[in-house]
Amino acid sequence: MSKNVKKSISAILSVMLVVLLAACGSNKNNASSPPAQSSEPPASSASAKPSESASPEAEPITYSLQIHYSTDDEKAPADWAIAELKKLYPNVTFEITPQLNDNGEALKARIATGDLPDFFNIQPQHFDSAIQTGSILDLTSAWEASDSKTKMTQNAIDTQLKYTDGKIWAIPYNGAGIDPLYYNKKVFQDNGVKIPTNYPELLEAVKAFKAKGIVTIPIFAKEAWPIGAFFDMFAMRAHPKGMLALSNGEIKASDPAMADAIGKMAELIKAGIFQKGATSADYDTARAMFHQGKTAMLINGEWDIGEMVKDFGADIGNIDFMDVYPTTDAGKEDMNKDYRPGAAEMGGIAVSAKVKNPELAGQIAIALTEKIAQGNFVKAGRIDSTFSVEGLTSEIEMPEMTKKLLANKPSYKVEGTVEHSLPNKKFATGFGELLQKLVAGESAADFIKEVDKLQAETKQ
Amino acid sequence: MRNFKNNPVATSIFVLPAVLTFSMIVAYPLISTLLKSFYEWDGITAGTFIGFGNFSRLFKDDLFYTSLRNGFIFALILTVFQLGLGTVMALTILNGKTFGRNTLRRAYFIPVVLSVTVVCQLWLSMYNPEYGLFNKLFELLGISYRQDWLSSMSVTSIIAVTMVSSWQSMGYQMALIYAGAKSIPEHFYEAAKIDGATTFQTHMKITIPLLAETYKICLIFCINAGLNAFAHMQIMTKGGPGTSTYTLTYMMTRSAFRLDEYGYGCAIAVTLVLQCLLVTLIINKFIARERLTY
Repeated sequence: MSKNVKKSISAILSVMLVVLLAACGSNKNNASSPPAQSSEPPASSASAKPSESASPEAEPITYSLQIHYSTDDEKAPADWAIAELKKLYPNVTFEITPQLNDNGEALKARIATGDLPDFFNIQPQHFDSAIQTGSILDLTSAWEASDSKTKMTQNAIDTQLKYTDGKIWAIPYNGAGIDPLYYNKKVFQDNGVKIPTNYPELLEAVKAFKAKGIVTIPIFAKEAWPIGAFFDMFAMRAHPKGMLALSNGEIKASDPAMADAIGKMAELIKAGIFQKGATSADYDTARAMFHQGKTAMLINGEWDIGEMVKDFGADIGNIDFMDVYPTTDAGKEDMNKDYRPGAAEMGGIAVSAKVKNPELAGQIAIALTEKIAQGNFVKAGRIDSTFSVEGLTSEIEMPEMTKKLLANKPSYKVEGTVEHSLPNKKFATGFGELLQKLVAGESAADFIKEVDKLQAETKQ
Repeated sequence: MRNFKNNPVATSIFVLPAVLTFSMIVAYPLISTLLKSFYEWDGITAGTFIGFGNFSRLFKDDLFYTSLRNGFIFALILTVFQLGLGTVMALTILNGKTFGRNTLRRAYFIPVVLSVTVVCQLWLSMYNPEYGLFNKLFELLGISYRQDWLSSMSVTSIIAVTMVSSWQSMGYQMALIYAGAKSIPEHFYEAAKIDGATTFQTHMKITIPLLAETYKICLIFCINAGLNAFAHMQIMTKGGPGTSTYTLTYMMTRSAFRLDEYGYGCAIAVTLVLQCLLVTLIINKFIARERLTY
């Protein structure tokens, strides 16, 4: 190839590169224009003029709102809530930005840069940084003056509302969700195994299934939270808060009642309650084993009921969840039986400290949260509202198991939380890793020793 | 052209964009990370200067030593596997008499272009203790060596993960060695042939010694890839069971993103960078110091 040809090709490539870079530059300029969400708000949040009934001083006001607003299941309740809120505050309009499913990383960055939306959904792990930087509004006085407090469930008031400093920084809309222990009656029946009601029967069942090559519980222990739920099924019999009590230092792993619970877990693991390779099993793989009718039991959240209905079809009648976890010695079945593993997490709708008209914003945050909680029931069929849904009808047909859960819920007590939401992050991370080691075959004695050590090292 | 080269203003103007880009995307983050490693910092607030506090804590942390050990195991296996088998593969396809060598060359390189997620999912299936390929093979052969490959708290898990990475990147090292071998002048081989050397002797006496510089580059790649390993653990074990497949990179993300201890995470990152630099310097100092010219 002659030098001239090479030069020509180089020149053409350079020109193309310049054009490409210029094109990228112009795209970036376009991207800096207002986001599509705010320029084209959804129908329900479109700017609406204040109604004639609004008082003359009620000036139109537009707030930015960041909530889960990506899927239909999220949009429908949010739109319903905003429409209901409009009836109370006709002069208020929202510009919605969907919250990213990024484990709160974007929110963390916005807290750091002081660039928070007026109203946003906050997770418990961001409270400390938001409070320390003075980024969020204290909603305590707004809550005290609000009528909504009479409509919040007592469990939510007791466990989800006030932060460790005694103040209210966010209003929760998702209440306590529990982690049921599902079981397949047909698998028990076909293999002649009794459905366990206490620990000795569970151990017998595990041994019987193991002898037939059947996995009792397929667990996705690549994640720590399902092991945490399993742990709490035993630990809550020793202390109603389970691993949260360990995290808070209210009980030690070596205390006799907790040590006994841990011993039972280790014994079941040794007997083969979980499948081999559990710590590298992901959610879909483990869950599919139960959904295909190959295993006897499953630990998962309430949300899985809908998928079970789809997967089991006509056989859904074979599936139920344990009313009482079979985790105590015979004769002690009633001990702490109503305490359930799951999450009654703090967090919910919070307000930026830089919001316009903070007094009004506080009232709106409470009213909006109430409507979102109710919207989740009406439009998405969720049964974990923190506010009363009396007088409302869900538009989603409820499966039988959900109805049973809804009927049982008033008697359930959720005072613990899921592993990744334990308030002491250092303990939570270390404890999750120790739980995996327990599932991988670590002895109860070593586990207890390591948890005690971790508790001492991470004491706050 | 001579005038242009002698004009410092013009030279500076042309070099400036590259210097600025390098400063922004390499130098600034490195310096910033180094500075933040001296702070107790949660990534949001200003942080508190604690001098070498993070480093002192790091050297007392058991997890640091587990991560360091795993990094070296990873690097060692990558080196032995990729350079060893990579050489065998390169020499195989270098031999003109090898049947289907073009097909082999492409086949060896296929894993390199596959996504790490795809490769990990493939190996996760093969490692499955119930119905995975490896345990089934042992069962078929009547060998009682069934393993819970990725759920063992011993070194089995980290070795199992490393094998996946080794397999995936082997084709890349093979390509480097093959390209190096192809550049060796033909007359060396002709001379060896006249002297009656066998193929094995030719490779041992000519090919491999003349590939010293290529091996140096491959070695730097392998060791740094081992010390920096992250993706395969993240997908296959999430560092578990417990912390048994942690490396320094994994420990750094745990500190920064799970515990919000960004300052400590920066200290781990600085240690990792220094470790990689040290290894590279040592390799450059002691291996293939003389530049070979043909």
